[in-house]
Amino acid sequence: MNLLVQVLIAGITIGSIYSLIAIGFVLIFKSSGVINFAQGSLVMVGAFITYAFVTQFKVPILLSILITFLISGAIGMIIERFVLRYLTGVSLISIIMVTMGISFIMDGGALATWGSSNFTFPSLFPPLSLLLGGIKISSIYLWSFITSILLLVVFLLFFKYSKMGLAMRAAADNQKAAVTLGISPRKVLSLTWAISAVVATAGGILLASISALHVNLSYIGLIVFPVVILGGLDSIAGAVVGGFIVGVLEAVSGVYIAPLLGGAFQQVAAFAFLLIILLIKPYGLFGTKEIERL
Amino acid sequence: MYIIFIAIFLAFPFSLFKYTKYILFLVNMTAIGVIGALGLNILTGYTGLISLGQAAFMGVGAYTVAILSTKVGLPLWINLPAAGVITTVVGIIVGTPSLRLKGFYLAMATLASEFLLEYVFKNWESMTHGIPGLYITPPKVFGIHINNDRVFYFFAVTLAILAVLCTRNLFRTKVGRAFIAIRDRDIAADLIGINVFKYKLVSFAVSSFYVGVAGGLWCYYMTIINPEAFQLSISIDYIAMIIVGGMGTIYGSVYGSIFVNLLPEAIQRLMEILQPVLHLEYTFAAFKQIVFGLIIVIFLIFEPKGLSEVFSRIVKRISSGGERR
Amino acid sequence: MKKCVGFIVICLLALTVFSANAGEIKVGIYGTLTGTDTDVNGMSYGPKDYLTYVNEKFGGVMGHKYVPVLLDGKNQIPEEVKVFKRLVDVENVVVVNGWSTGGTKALRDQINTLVKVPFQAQSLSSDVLDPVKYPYIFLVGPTYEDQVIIAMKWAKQKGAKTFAFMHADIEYGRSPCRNAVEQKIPDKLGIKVLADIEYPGGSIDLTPQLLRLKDLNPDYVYIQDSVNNTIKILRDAAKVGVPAAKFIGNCYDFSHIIPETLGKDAEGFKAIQINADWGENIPMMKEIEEFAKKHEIAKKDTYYTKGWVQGKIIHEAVSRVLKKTGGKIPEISQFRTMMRDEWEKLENFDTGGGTPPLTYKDHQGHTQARILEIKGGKYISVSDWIKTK
Repeated sequence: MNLLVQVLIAGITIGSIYSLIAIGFVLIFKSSGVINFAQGSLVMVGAFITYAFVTQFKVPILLSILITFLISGAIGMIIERFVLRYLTGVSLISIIMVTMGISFIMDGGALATWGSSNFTFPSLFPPLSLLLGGIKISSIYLWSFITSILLLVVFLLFFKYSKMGLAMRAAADNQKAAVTLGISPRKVLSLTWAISAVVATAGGILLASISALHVNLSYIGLIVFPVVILGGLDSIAGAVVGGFIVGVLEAVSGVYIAPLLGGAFQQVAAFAFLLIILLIKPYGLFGTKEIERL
Repeated sequence: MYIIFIAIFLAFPFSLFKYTKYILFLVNMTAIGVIGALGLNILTGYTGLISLGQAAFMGVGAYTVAILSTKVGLPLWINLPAAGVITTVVGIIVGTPSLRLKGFYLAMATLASEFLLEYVFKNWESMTHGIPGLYITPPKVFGIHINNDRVFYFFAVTLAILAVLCTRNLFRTKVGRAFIAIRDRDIAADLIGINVFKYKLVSFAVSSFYVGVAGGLWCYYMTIINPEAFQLSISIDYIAMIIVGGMGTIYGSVYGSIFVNLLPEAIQRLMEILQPVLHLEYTFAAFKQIVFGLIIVIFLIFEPKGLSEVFSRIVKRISSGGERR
Repeated sequence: MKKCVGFIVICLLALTVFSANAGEIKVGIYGTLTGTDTDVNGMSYGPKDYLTYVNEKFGGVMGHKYVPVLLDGKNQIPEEVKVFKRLVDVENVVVVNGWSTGGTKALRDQINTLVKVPFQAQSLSSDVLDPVKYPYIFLVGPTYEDQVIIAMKWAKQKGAKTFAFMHADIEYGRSPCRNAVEQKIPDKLGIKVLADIEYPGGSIDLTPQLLRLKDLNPDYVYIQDSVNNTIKILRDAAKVGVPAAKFIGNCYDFSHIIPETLGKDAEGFKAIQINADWGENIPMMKEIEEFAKKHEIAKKDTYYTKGWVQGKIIHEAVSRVLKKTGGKIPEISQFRTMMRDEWEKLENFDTGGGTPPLTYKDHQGHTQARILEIKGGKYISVSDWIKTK
């Protein structure tokens, strides 16, 4: 029983980070239909830039995080402006490959700058752990979870109530109608990418705090796909729920199923799950069903 | 004019030039790549379906050859087509559920199958021998092992040329044109009576066959295959091949394969010349990755039709330039 | 159109380098310069630097200068095969210093039969150690399976009864653990192996595996993996409450990076040492310091010193060959075969303290190791030098 609870805690915490990263992905998809394969790279680079500010420029951590948010927002906007604007209306494979190309550039750049060793991310949270029903929850898990939830709530509120949030949803829903209402889709798109990059950075910082800082962190971008397929490509709530479910699924399969099937099943569990979802409910739990079926 | 090229193709492997063996190696890898790229192009370039599972399917072909030749002892002329057939079957199994959905979902299904097949390669030990992989004794042709660079050269290049010709003919038939129709306007295609689902499946099957054969060739050349050789990065390499080469064109597959196989070598040499300036070796690999990404992005923005388009423009300009006098 | 293709092909290939001059001895080295094992790649820089040192200090060997060629194998078998072919066919190297277990296995035919080139393996898998079947492959140190024996013997002395293995899903990880079990090593020592836990080599989070481990609660855990992944294991172990003292790593876990990165979470961790560490008070270290005055050293750790020793071995074998030929560089295939023969004849070769004196009749060099433990951020030895054979 003890083990199961620990597994669930680990899964939920990692899952909350998956949710964050998935939100960034969904945001971009909702507003521009772009499948962003570079999301993982944004996660990784964001974490590294924060690390660089703290260790190399000796900037206090909270300030570093803020500066990094600004920088990653800028990176997001740059990607949107220079690359994706050239590619309006092209085929899906081209969009996928462009974002993949961007991720290679970012990954290569990170590798060239920092090398391929493991780094310890500077500690972010006070080392208070919690004793819940006799089980120790380490501080990192606790704080990561709290931070993720906070950010998620902030987002949901932003989209529901703030003017900009509404504008973004409107533009995502129906660009032409949004224009007639005076919303500039260009500005909204820029902002969407900026926010998405910032969320990615937040996810990266949390992830690096939980495990380690390494250029391979960008592979997290692949886990995003089972999450958004489960949740629905264009649903933010789906991203949240999907993230938790996938996180728990991975943890559970790593502990309980791997011994049965052998090998490193944890890595493929999410993808096996993805295939199953594609068969049963391809549009996910909350995604909008597409009418074309050919 | 062509006679000179044929002469070069035939005579080169026997030259005593110092780099001959290594060049043959590169050409052989390129030939395998051409067949794989043709397969991917049929699926993606001509029919508009996305697959991220290219590498895993090649693995299926490679393992088929390895298993059939070591455990069952069948000869090459059965194994290689069998590789194609088995890969086709796997392709159909993977593709059928998702072909009814929009492109992205197929991409996801193929991505998932990429990881799952890799897992199977690593863990279905009774068949695949797991992580160490399988060794094969390469069959002999005229008394020499087929994985000898020269022998393989003739074998592989011939097959590559055959693949090019077959593909060219495919797109002169009704089936090929159906693929193109599906890519361009699938709803309209449906309206004029093309059974979209059936032809999508056929496209997937044909493409898988090519890829499986390419995988089988890989196995015969490398003589050892293991799960590490069939990872996602290889799938991405192939997609890059058809994008850089030209999607939906036959020669695009050829140019793309040449480009993607030779680019790392060119960068390697360039880096070695620049060696005194850059100190640490990991910068090389990072540089390769950046260049690879840059090329993909630049091609997609500025030359979305790929090298085949670039070349036909150059050829047109040369030939029309001649006439204008 | 074909003209353009041919033209471009030729252009791309024209970037290749020119031929070697006479009077040069090329040595091929490939290692993981990028990829998953980079923390221990000091042992690829070591031989390169040593040979450069020989060039600078002694003018090479009998007037001929070494040209070390260092390439990136990326810890991926297809890449290593490609790089090997280049070193052997194009660069015409005399000897190859190669990396991964899987790659070495893949190239066994090339090395021993088709090409016949002496191969200094970084791998310590017993699957590639066979003086009869693989006469051209040479190792430096006890095999991974030997190291498992050493670890288990030591643990038995501390009263251990149960063990677990942890390793990545690659050849280097799986086969030694499997071989150890098949050869009944734990059984002979009266130790029960509770589990063989595998994880994806590149994965970021190993918490599920460690939770499973915690549940099983073995006395000790043997990690058949290198620094990068060991750091992840120990970190996640600390997260779930498994003390580092339960873990014993192999010879590739002896690195100052571990205590530096993990701090107190690494206290109690044990690793196996098979050669001298950086900074030890030995004659070989003086050589390295001399070299360091003019050159930047890529990795200052025990793997670099291992590489330095490997460079010494190569230099010694080459010197003996050249003595036999009176200073003339023989034709390449003869050179390679002569070098192999001379290598095998090395007996009690002194490496200036880097390793115990090396004897290569069995192609292993030496079979000594000892156990170290991290105490106060530093590695302290907790056993004597143990011989396994």
